[in-house]
Amino acid sequence: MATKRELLDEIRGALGPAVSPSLTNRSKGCDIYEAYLFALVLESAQQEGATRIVFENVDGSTASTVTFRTSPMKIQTRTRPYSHAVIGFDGKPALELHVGIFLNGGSRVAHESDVVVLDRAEANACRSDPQSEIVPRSGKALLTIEAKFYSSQLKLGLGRNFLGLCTDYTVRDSFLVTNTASDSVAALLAGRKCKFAPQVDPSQPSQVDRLRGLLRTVFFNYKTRR
Amino acid sequence: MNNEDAIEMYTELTRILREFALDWIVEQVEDDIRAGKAEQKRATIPGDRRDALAEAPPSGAKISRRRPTREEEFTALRDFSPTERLELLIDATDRAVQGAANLESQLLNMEVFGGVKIVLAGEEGDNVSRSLDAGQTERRMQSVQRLSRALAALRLELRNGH
Repeated sequence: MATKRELLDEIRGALGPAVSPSLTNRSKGCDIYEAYLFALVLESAQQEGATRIVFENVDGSTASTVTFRTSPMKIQTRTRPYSHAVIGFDGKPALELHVGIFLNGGSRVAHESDVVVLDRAEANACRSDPQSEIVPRSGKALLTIEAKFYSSQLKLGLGRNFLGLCTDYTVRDSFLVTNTASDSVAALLAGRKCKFAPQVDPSQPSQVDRLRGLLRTVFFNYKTRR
Repeated sequence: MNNEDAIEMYTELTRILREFALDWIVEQVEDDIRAGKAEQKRATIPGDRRDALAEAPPSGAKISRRRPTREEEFTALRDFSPTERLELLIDATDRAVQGAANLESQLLNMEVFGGVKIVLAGEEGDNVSRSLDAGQTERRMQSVQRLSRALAALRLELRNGH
């Protein structure tokens, strides 16, 4: 049996090459998690029968590389060719899926939104003049996701913050999605309009399916709404 | 593992995490430790007593019947023990490191991207931009497995009380 010192040495030796560059003190794994949730939203749209899914850059060109923002920015920011996905359903106005943009709440305060599905017309209006700095309105969003990649239990304060955000957003569906669990946040958000999706992580397929189901319902309602 | 050993191992593991700029994992765990461990406890609620009334009832007023002493459920917060603290730190390290590597690996295999290159990029000035690479991710996964085994061995030592 290894001694405690040997175990610590083994941990130190394995940790360096095991740490993803996304696990810095700045990102804390959030950037890779947001990209993963972006992909889950796209998969859900696809499963719900989206007839068009293409990647596009902020300048309108087709994206051959998908570039995700790692910090929240204005939707017009062109310092890099940041990408979004265009989602189309037959007979419905096109949508756009973004990561890390600002979104205006009902109070006209701009909030950071980790993952958002937005009316394409609203996104185009904001981008039409790159100097305009117009922030999309949450009322023009189909859904938003607050993404929390955590190493330990999700703190109750984050649940409270999310509740506050939901009262300012006029978006129909908002989700707090995390890779970890939290009984207190689950209890706080139980039965509320804004939804909590814990333990969404590739190692928890049933929880991933649960979120996919919730997202599919949002797209289903969008398709069938008159 | 006794409490003294657990405290020493916690300090050592904390030091290792800080060496690799994973201070945030330590901070999240220490937030949990500060909050304490929530447990459901039953406690006795004494029945209503006349001497608990702020004022004596007016003469002739009817005094409600005395409520019996009863047990009710409360949430209690207790301190984590040194071994529980170490277990929290082991779990958090495993969850963060393994979780991030899994996410990368998963992203590279999701059909919805159709094999396009994926780049994570901050603002131009902050010089943080990287593309996900299958070879690097595979090598990282091997190290993650090695780390998970070492953390599992430490967890076992903790639980077995060696």
